[in-house]
Amino acid sequence: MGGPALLEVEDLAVAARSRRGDLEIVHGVSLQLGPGETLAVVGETGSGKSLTMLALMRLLAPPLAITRGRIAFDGHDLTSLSEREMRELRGSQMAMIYQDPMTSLNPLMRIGAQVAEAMTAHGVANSEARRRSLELLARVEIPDPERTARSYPHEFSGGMRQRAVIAIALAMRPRLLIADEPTTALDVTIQQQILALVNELRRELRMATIWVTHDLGVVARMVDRVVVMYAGHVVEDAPVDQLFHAPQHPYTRSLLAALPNPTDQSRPALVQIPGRPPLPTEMVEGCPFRPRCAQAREACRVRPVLEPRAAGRAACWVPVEEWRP
Amino acid sequence: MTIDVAAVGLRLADGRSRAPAWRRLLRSHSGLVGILLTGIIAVAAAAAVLGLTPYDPIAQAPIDRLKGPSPTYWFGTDQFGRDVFSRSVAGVANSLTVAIVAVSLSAVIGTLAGLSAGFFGSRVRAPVLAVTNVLFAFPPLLLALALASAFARTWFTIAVAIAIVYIPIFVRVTRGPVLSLKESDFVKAARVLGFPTSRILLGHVLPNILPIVIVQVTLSLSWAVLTEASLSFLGLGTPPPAPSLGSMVLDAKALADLAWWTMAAPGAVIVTFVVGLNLLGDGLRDAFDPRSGDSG
Ligand SMILES: Nc1ncnc2c1ncn2[C@@H]1O[C@H](COP(=O)(O)OP(=O)(O)OP(=O)(O)O)[C@@H](O)[C@H]1O
Ligand code: SF4
Ligand SMILES: [Mg+2]
Repeated sequence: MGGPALLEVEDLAVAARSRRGDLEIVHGVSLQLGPGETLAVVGETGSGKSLTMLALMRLLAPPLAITRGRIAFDGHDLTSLSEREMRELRGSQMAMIYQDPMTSLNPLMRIGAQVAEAMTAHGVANSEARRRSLELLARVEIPDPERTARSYPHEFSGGMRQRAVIAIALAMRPRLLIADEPTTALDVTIQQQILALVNELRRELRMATIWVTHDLGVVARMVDRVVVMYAGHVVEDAPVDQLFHAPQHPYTRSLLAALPNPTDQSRPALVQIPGRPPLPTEMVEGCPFRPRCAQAREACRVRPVLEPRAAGRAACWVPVEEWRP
Repeated sequence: MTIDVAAVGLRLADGRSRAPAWRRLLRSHSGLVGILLTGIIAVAAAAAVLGLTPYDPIAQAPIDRLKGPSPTYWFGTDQFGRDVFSRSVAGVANSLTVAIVAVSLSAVIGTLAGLSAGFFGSRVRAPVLAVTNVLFAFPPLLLALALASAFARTWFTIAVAIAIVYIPIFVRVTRGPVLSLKESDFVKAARVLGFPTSRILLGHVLPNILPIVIVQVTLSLSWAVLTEASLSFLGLGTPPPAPSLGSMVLDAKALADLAWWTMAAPGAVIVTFVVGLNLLGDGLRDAFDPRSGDSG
């Protein structure tokens, strides 16, 4: 890392508010990201990855709300910005691409106009936006941009639409890109192409990137660090090499064991972790992973905190040396 | 009659993958007949506005009182010797002016209210819906009657009265679709891109509910013509001596035994127009409905 962080999240909590009280779903997430750095956020479905990302963009819709914590982005304290100031950052400094490219484009607007609008909304002149939108479409490898700019979304395949979505997200050269499972709705071959494209653009624009996924294998080659989330908690945060070779949290180890490994025939593919994560409504005393943890012991009845461990951080009472195999 | 909002729906996502809506409209029977009937009336009304009627609709000719239909007076004359055909055509022009102004007002206000009630939180939604519900609870004719009698009786008062009555309909048909559009990915994407709310509402949500508004405008026009005619029939509509379909029917009622033709012409015009607009509305609804077959 080193140098000033671009994004610094501290103790961020998200809850669903109601008259009967708050139901906390994300319980104090902390993470940092340097300029140009790439981070993967992994965790099972429902672990609060998307909510955390939406909270970063201050886009939670009621009843969901940030209930605690601090988000520093490029010197701004995002939690105290006005909605108007936030809007200026969104789309220009912070961008997001997500799951379903089939529905994230306006069906009644031409592709080119949608790319251009991402710029005119942030003050770029019309003619300039039009010219740049053609460049952008070419850059995301959409063939014949002059013609395709005049197409409607329904004339595009899923992969093409996701390319258009990427062009729109990157139009203002944001400093931070959040990619929330942008390929899950696509064919496997197209997934690889889109991942490669975003990775290339990320390097070219020196964009800090957060990859959200529940498939660790997919992004392993492209990220610097990995944050593992479990039931709304960060349980481990480590450099990617360390995470793969010396996981510091039992949950990370189980996730890795569940990864199919084509080169290692000795390991049975897809070991399932028994049980399921607790729902936000289910109170677990102590460590949230305890009901499923092979290493659990008496000490785990008290909730562990995220502490420095090797080159990263982990939230577990039991050091790796004491783990049972 | 209410519009099946779900049928007009939001599945316009693939709406353009087939023949454009206007072409599908022309291919459907109801659409074609609807265009034809409303077209005839609209052309006649336009001619009347330009003063192209065979006779001056308010000129009296005492010697020609209560003449039956003939080559000279196609639809006969009334008790003042005025040409019934010219009066009917001028009457539909007057009724249509009132209806168009009324429906435009209610469509604009109602759609904007529906947009806000669907898009914003309860602080906007609650008052909008409260007002809508109050207006909706009034029998349309009664509210129009009250307004028409409370204010100066000009054609514009009548138009405003009818507009107020129809505002809730536009709020109702637009709010639901706006609610689901608000949750749609491309509207969320617009928020992620930092678009201002006004741009999202007018540039992205509104175009997607426009088909629903257009269908509703067509149907409302036919009701508004009927309401204007009813008000005039009750003596509260377009002030005399300007011809109005409703007051012509009222006058004709007294003459029903003597001169049936004074009733026939305005009646036929009203029926033609209302049926035409309803068929057109049906045709448009099918043409915009992505689920309907290509042949309509
Ligand atoms: N309005 C809400 N009220 C209550 N709970 C909610 C609400 N919205 C989301 N949740 C819950 O928040 C939890 C976290 O959801 P989130 O979408 O962040 O998970 P995720 O890690 O992104 O999962 P996935 O991998 O499936 O995308 C889920 O258990 C979900 O049920
Ligand atoms: S704290 Fe205990 S229960 Fe939690 S992960 Fe570590 S060993 Fe398992
Ligand atoms: Mg998610």
